[in-house]
Amino acid sequence: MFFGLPLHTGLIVGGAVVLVIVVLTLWGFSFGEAS
Amino acid sequence: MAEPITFVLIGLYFVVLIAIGSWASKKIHNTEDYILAGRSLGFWVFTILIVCSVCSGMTLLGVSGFGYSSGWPGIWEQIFVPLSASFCIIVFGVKLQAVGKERDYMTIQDYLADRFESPRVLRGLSALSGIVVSLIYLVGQYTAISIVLVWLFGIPHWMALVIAGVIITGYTVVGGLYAVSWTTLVQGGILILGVLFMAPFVVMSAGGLTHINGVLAGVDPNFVEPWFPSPAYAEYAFATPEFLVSFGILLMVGLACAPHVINNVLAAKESRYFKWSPVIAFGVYAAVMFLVKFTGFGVRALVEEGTLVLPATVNAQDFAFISGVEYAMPNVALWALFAVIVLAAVMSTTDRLMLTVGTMFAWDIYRNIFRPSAPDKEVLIVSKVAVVAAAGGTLWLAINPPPMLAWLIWMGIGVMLATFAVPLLAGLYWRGATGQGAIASMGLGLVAATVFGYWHQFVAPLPVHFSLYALAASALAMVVVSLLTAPNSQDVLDNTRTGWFIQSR
Repeated sequence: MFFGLPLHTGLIVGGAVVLVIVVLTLWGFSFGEAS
Repeated sequence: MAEPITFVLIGLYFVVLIAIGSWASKKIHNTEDYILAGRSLGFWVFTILIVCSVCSGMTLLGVSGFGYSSGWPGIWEQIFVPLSASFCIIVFGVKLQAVGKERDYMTIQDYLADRFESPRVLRGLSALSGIVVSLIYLVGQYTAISIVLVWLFGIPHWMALVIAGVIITGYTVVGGLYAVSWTTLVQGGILILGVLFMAPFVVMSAGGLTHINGVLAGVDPNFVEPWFPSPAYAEYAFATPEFLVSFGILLMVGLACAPHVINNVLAAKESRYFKWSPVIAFGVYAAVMFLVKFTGFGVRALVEEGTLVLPATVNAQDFAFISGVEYAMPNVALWALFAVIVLAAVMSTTDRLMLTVGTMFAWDIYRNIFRPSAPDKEVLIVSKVAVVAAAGGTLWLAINPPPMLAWLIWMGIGVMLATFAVPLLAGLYWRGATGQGAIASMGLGLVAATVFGYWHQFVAPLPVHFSLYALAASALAMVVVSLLTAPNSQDVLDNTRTGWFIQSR
């Protein structure tokens, strides 16, 4: 259980949020400021 | 219902907005200042402007209402909507800001006209559809503002609309995007801090998240699942996997290319803002939206346990946030602060929409189609008159809102997706996309969105959001017509940085 949610719900929703943040952070690191 | 402190706080809030408008008016010397704040927006003003342009008037009320009625399967809205701000910045913003600065674009229509070498037809078509969609959206925003003011002060609906309309129109007309962006920074700050402060109280008063989820699971076990099973077995259980896919595309892409959102990228001062603004916009917006959603869950738990009763109206779920805060925070001063937060959320989208309508009319239709020789001062005056006209017309409509207002607003977002997404994406990333392809794509998208939207509402429900069919039709028209027509000149494609990349190599 995850805050009273089934584990799979917590993992799927939490995983989606983390994935988005990771992708957007990678975007930030790969952004070339010179262009 | 309102206490003196509520009047004082709201009065103070309005005075701050008018003061910003007055300060901003001194910075307006030409149309570029008015429409794009002289391309001078700094990092935080730009980032918060994008977030608050997406964050509509119904955010607080609608998001918690959706949480109240549908539970966790609706949580994806809290990822898709904040993601639309990041999508807009990365996929559209990076190129458009750079090209826009080089080629002096004032609006997205300038880009479409330049890229597709269609200075009149495509510009006119996109400006007109942009104006219609924005006006529909605007009626919804004004209706939301009046709901808040009527509920707060017990004043007549028309009076609430006139008060809000005069203040917003006042600072937007005199201060243009300078006023809109700086008032939005204040409004966004109030909204973000207010929700971060208040939502935890509602969740705690309902017994905490673990207890709330237990109660939700007791109402319907699927309320704690990530989606509802397909096909939908109840009216509230529409968030099935296939629906969520179409809903995600609609919100993420459709909101990102909405005229009042995408035009903001042209006003950013420096391209380096696009490095971290996507993750910051997402993080801030998602944190606020998750908390608002949790208040909806909390209020559902309180109602199920018989602790709280929502007003006996058709749209009772939209009162979830209001009722939850009223229950959890009986302190009058905090209550007054809450009133300002709701108004800030609603007003920050309304002013941007009004300015967008005024801009598209004055710059794209009046200046670029009817009177190319019009001097800058004349265009500036027409912009201001158009803002006043847009405010007057939509206020009048909001006094007697069309019976299908909610449907019209959803139609509006669907139309944005079906008309703007393909021409913009294909224009930026596919060198084979032609002007005729863009016109066909926009035209067919508009017609298909209307037909499928009508079909879904009045004939038979479709399994996925109607706009997805219209988007497919729009994409098909773009590909087929572009392949059959001559490509645009290589010079134009190079100058507009067209190609399968985001940043120039």
